[in-house]
Amino acid sequence: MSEISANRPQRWDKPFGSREMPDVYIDALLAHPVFADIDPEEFPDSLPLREIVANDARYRRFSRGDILFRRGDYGNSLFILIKGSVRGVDTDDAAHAVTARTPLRRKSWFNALSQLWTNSAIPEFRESVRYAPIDGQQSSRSEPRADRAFVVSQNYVGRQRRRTVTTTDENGLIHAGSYSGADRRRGAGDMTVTRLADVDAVIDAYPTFSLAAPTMFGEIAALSRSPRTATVFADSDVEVVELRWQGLRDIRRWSDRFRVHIDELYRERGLLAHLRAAPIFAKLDNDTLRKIASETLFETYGDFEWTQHFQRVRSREATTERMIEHEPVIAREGNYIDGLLLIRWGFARVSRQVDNGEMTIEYLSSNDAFGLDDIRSAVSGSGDNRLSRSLRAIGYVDVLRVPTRLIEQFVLPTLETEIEHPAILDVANDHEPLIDFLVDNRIINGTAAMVINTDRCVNCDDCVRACASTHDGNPRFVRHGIAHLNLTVANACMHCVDPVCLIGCPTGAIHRNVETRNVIIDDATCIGCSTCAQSCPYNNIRMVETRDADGAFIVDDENVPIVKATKCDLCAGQPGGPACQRACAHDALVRIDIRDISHLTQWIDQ
Amino acid sequence: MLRASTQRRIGYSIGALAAFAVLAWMQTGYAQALRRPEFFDGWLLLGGVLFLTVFNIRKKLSMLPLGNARVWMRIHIYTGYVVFGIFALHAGLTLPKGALDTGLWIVFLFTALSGIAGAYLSKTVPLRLREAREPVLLERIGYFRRQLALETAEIAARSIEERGSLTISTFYADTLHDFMRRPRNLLGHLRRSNHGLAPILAGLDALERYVDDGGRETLGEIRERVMAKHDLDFQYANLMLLRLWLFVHVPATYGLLVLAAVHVSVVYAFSSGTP
Repeated sequence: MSEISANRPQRWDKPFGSREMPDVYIDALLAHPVFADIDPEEFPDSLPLREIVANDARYRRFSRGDILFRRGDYGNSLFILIKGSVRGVDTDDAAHAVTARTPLRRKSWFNALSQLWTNSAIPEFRESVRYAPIDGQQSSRSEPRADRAFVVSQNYVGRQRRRTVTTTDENGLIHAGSYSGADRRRGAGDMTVTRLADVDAVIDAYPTFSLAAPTMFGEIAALSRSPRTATVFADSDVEVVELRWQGLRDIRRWSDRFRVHIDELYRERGLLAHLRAAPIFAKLDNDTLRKIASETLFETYGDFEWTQHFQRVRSREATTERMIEHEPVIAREGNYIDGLLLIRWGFARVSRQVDNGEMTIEYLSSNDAFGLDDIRSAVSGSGDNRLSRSLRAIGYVDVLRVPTRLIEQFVLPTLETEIEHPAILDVANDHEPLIDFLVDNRIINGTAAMVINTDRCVNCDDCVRACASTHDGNPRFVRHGIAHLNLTVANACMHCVDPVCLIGCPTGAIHRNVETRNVIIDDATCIGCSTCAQSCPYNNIRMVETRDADGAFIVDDENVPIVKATKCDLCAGQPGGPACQRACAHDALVRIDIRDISHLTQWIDQ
Repeated sequence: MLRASTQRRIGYSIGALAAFAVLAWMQTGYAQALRRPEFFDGWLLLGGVLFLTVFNIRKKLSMLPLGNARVWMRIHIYTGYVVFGIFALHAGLTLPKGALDTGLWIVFLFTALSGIAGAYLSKTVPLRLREAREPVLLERIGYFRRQLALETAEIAARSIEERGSLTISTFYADTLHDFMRRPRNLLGHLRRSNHGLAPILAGLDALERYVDDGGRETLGEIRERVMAKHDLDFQYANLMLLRLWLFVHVPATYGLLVLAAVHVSVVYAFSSGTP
């Protein structure tokens, strides 16, 4: 077998746009008020500002009514408004009304079945034509062809026939897209644009906010890897530059002014929406929420890139007590209650002092409140104005601190007698060691963790075979992992609430799927840098050496194999969802959202 | 309040009994109509067996949304019980006559009983594996076993260099080498017997009196590896049992289908053609 040589993929091999942004747009962007104060000298020679903008930004134009992004999308980019104005809706009903989501595109039954005979017998087979040939080397297999990922994505488009159109503007910028005919959609891939049928009707029917050039938006989702909080559409002909998360991270890192500016925006714009999303404030009107927002403090605890620290600690220290010691205290048991704490982003551990140790009671995640019971007890006279539990940051946590006075005045009258987390507290009493296990190992991060009940598992490997059958013959998990009693959390991607694997991906290959919210790796874009695999605190991403049709390793010009990051994608595109779970004949394997701990314990106990 | 799994078992059992009762009633009606009921229950039996094989096909088509395998498994098991009942109706409670029918009778019973045994093992062996010190994947056991054997050999060899004594290395050569290099006492492990381990531990204990403190430390290291190897054998025996019963049940099913096809051909070849 002969090896195929190819150029090793590098960062910016594939710019954010269809090609590097032309100079005319870069100049326009750098003259924009948002960027004008940035000093290019602050950037290192290896990472000049201009190069970041050229490769991590793309210029886009929208017509009135075009939707830029939708509430709930997992966006990884910031928008800088160059010209025109946009409007946004940030309530669920309005966002739902203006957002006609495309149904998930799945394989047909025949396409799924055909995997029986089309799956490669060669492990980690990739078409070598996807890699650019090394200069001078001619190979019939190296002739440029359509990118396989593009072909595949076309197959997934659905039953409707689509026609691809490519245009070039006056600056040579390529706008490629596909038109599906009579509907309101145009575009292709992440350039797909949905247009509102009647913009004025939406503006009349729902409360909207407006943003006009020059400004920027979308920074909340881009910075916190969280869902978009609003649906934003063009209110006129609009020109924007979209800066992907990787570029935003680098500019924010090297420019102090940019960092201060963007953090101010982050606080100013996100707060009201987050207060509105919290169930505890569900019965409050907008005026009251604004009043609360004006006095709410925004606090952050822990490290944004918490995984490295966690991995170090976990490898050194195993006991719960030691793990707790490394978690920053947000509120300590016995301290004076100075406000209600609302988790805006991340996870926090609630614990109680028992003799010389801390007992984990529960864990909180986004929109959960801490301290409400104590405030209520204090108001009713049965408490002593002190916290009865401690709250600690697990990883990186954003917290909103709402003054006690406001809770007494506005929130308590709207609440009935329910406690903060009745279901979790009940479970906590019966499964305290399980909760410790889930929190200490940060399994609580998983929205689709693969949990195996070893009391039922017969080691038949049907799950592994099912996984391989839907991934070209390559299983994307290991039926092994960390264990607690009869539970094993297997080494399969958990599709985390906080997917830290996204941090640092230079090309954006690993991303949140807009529709399913699953974390997916775009194989065609992955350059095999291993950043995601090293970031994943659970070791659920594997780097694999790719092979060509003859089974030979695909190597670069230095004869080093070209590797790709691989992991569970929850059988994206397959009909029927995760094959592993469906294949288990003994009900021993489940993909489960760990935040729903009552579901987990029910499954264990059944 | 019954557990969900118990409720489910009761539900499936009632369903299976009801299905069998209906089929038996239909068979009686067939006889009362002066038709030959063995044609009715024979085809029913063959249809039931064919339906049972569909489960194996479902397992191979995991890429298609054909329902959860756990539901298929339950249906497979309870349909198996119903088919067993139909077999009793069809074959009667007497031994068959003739080589072909006897062969078919034996293969059917073998297939059915291996299936029942498999269902039992699937429920009990995973619970037994709880006793393992550290669960290991079946495919990794060979690797760990080799590693332990290598480490034990190195420790024994080191004892000669460090202590200048052949006591430990001789014991290794006479007893441990064979124990460490391949799976041992597999049947004993299935009976949860420590029969194979006890003499080795006793032998290691007996050596304590001949060695100094450093030698006792070495014996402790060896004992730890012997226990780990014993644990690997325990897992290997039980995991192999879980895997091997399918290699009995599935081929037996294919044999059953072949014999059943021959049986049907012979029956029609020598019948009047009026069921």
